[in-house]
Amino acid sequence: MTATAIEHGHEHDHAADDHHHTGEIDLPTYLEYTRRNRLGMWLFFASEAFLFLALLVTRFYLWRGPHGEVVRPELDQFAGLVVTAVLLLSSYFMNRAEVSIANDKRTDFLASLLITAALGTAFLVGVVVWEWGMFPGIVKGHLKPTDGVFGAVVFGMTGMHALHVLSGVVLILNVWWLGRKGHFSSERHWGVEACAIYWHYVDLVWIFFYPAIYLIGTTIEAPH
Amino acid sequence: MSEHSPTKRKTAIYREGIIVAITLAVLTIVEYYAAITPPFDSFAILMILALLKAILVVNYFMHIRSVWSEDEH
Repeated sequence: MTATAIEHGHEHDHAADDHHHTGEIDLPTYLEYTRRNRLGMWLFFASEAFLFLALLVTRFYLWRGPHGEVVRPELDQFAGLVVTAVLLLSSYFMNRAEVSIANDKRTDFLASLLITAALGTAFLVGVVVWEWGMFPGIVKGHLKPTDGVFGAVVFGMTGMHALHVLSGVVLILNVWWLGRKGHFSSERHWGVEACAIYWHYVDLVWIFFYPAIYLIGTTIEAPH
Repeated sequence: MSEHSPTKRKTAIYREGIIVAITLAVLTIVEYYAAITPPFDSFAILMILALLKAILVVNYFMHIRSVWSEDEH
């Protein structure tokens, strides 16, 4: 039986049993699948953590002043605070979507997903337009990727994170589309849970990236 | 209605999300002002604040306990 069929709820519910007996082989129950999937998801997060930790270490290793003190480039503090607030708010709505489907509140679930996707897109626009200055006619950015270690690290960290935000938005819209078609229920919504914890992971990474990029260290002029 | 009725439980779960979101917002504002107020702008203080936020997200939004728990969250 495929995972999609299980997500649909086509499998007979044997949640109370240890295994679903089908002749010669024992298929795990939906609950067991979910437990294994959860573990797999957290192992994936652990592997991703190495990537983000490497970027954090790079930031603290390279952004040093002449006397070894921790420094940072001049960035738009207001932009940093606003995009951080937007991402935190999106995490709340993602949590609300998950709680809603767990309580069979489909309308609330779908609306919360759309709000989360909109806030995620707003975060992306904030970073790309406001901080990167990709459209100088609208906002002139502070740094370019070629501006030495400051430019390289800022664009490396925010770029890698933005890529995860983008994939998260695509995932959320996919879950929303499936939800509209009647997928997921209060008993069977691993797809929603996986999407939610992925989104919160993206938020978790930004929780450390925000102070590392915007707040920690003395501000110095970036070489152009 | 009993203390642990489904309606009360649902309300409590929704309320929990709101409380966590507000706490995260407050910690972010504290973080921002700490960064512009010496001597609170130190690496240690800002990282502790970030860790507190991370613990909230991992515990309440990512349900890390469900990885080893036998119960559904």
